[in-house]
Amino acid sequence: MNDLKKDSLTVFDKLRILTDAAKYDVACTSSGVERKGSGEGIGNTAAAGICHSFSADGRCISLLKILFTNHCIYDCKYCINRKSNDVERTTFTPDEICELTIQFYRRNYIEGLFLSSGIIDNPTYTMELIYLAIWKLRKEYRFEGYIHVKAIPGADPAVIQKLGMLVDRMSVNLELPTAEGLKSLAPNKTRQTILKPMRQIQNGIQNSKEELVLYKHAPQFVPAGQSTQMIIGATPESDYQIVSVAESLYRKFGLKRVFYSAFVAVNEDKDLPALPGGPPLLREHRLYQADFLMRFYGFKAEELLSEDRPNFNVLLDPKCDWALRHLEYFPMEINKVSYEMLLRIPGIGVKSAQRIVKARRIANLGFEDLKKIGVVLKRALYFICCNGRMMYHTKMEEDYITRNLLMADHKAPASLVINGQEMTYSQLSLFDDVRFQNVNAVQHGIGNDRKWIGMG
Amino acid sequence: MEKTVFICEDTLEGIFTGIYDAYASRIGHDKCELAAGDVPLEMFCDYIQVLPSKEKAEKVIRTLKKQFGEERFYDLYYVLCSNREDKADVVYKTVVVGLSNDLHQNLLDHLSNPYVARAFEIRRNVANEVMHIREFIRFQELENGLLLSKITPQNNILPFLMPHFADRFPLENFMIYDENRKLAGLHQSRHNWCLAQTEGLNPKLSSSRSEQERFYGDLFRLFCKTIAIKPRENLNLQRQMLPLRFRNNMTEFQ
Ligand code: SF4
Repeated sequence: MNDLKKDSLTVFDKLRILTDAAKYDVACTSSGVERKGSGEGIGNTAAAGICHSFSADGRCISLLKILFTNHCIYDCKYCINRKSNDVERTTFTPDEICELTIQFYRRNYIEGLFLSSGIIDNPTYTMELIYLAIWKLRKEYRFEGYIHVKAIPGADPAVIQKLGMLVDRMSVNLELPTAEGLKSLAPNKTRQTILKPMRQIQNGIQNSKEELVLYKHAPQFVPAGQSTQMIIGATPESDYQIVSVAESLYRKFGLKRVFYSAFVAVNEDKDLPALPGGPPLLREHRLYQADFLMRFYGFKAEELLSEDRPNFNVLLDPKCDWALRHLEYFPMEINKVSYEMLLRIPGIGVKSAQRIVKARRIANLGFEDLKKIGVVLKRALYFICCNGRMMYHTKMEEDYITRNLLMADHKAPASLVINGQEMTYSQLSLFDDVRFQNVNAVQHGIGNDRKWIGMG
Repeated sequence: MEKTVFICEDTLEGIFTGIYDAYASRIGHDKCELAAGDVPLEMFCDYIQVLPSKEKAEKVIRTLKKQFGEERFYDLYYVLCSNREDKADVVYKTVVVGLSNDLHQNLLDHLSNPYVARAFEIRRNVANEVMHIREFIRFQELENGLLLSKITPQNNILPFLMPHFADRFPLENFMIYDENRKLAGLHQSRHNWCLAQTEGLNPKLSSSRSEQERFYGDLFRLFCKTIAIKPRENLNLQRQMLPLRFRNNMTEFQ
């Protein structure tokens, strides 16, 4: 048993240790719930979430993301806090967590708190301690901003239930995409113990919504919904497996978000892959793009990838990739095709598609109008026509368009010669070894369309 | 063609009065232009100075809200808070387009019209700045407990920032000071917020920081430094998401 009182570190040291230990969790969004202040406390929330800063890795800082403790009885191989690691350990007191949250919040540093934790003694005991801290923050410090807590698999459903009444979002980490992956790297966890609280939270949210219909002021359970995350590249799953898992999580567990976390090697272990090129960031990026396509653009996992084509294209985002494989649908007439089809056109996002549908009710649209609407013409021009005419004379040919798209993005390699043979772009995406050699070459391009991914 | 320019005071009241007068003059909208604030005078123009009138402005506001709905009215309000020189004329002409085509909620969907498109663009620019400042603004606590923030926005965005923070910090005394306009947004615990023009008042904002201020600033700097994942470092991406021009007043970059 860990003696919590023995901890004599300063808040400064604790914050350093428990931030460092929390940072590999990717989610930092504060979205999903719009709530005005009551006038008697401090804080409110915005449905779209609010970022307050960006760290040196370009990730958004929205919440005070810390661990309650980095003591842990488990030994997950990928985790810096694993039991067998010799690291400095500490635990926050509830008041320290409350003070930090409130004082950061007052200065507009953060949108709220994201509290995760290692496991002291057992999952239920740990969750009880977390509950006490959150209770204090809500009831004594009257904090009405955003709170996200991790639910620890294996904890008593009763504590998850009462904690869910105090927080905005809860998440249970899937950790790894498949049960086999979990078995090899997280020996103390099983798929079953992870899915159980996920289901409980899903049901809780559902019940709470039904109650809200009956009683307008019924207290809400996890109003901002549930999310999860999985580590990418620590185990050998294909992109196709991963997006399929994500798709079924959205469908069967009603998740708000699935987060993908490129594996960062913090431990040496024979069961972990060596990643000389660093974390697989491009792959993570493609997964977020695909995730977006599934949530907002009506794409299904099997439209994006298949058993025969299990991984994303290095050079093209999944939507362009799909369009190039389905040139039979193009060019589409902007003034006619349905909203759903507009969404399938590269260079047209959700907002522009909505604006097009509204604007064309009033007047026929030309290319100039599309520009004002926010369509990225340098991409879209190969796939659209306005009033029967394309913008330029364009060959409807996969290789030709691919080359032009890549040049527009400055991603086109000067020439494509592999093993002394000139390649076409469509051949290129089939080469798995090329895929990984090229990763670093294109990595500078990551983030250019970060807005499009909508990290909020 | 001769044109007539209505010169209005650069306030809501001034510009809405201008719209009223332009309509009432019956000169014809294609021969009229609205300008706010100081305008360089041109040849071959008639100039009419608009006297702000609360009554006329309110009439216009009522008409706009009735025709286009609250939301579109606030869109136009955003445009009027911008620093663009053509904003008054853009709003005037957008209103003309909207009323003559009997547009309602869909006013700003009419993007093939150049005035509407311009209004849409300006609105977006102002709304983006509001969004950014709302994220990146920082407060410092003074010795007397007041939270103070200084900003230097391009547009006049205090009218949009204050409601957000007043709702968020109902029990705090705080002040957001727009240095470019010498305008202060003030909020007293459990009261409504207000705006105060401080030109010539020379407010004392240099009162010293509270004892805790340094402590929490240091903690936040430590947090931001620690939360970054080294092998993922990407300063370009950071700069893209958080342009340098915002960083001057941000605690974590000081
Ligand atoms: S349970 Fe596993 S992943 Fe979580 S802190 Fe402990 S070792 Fe790390």
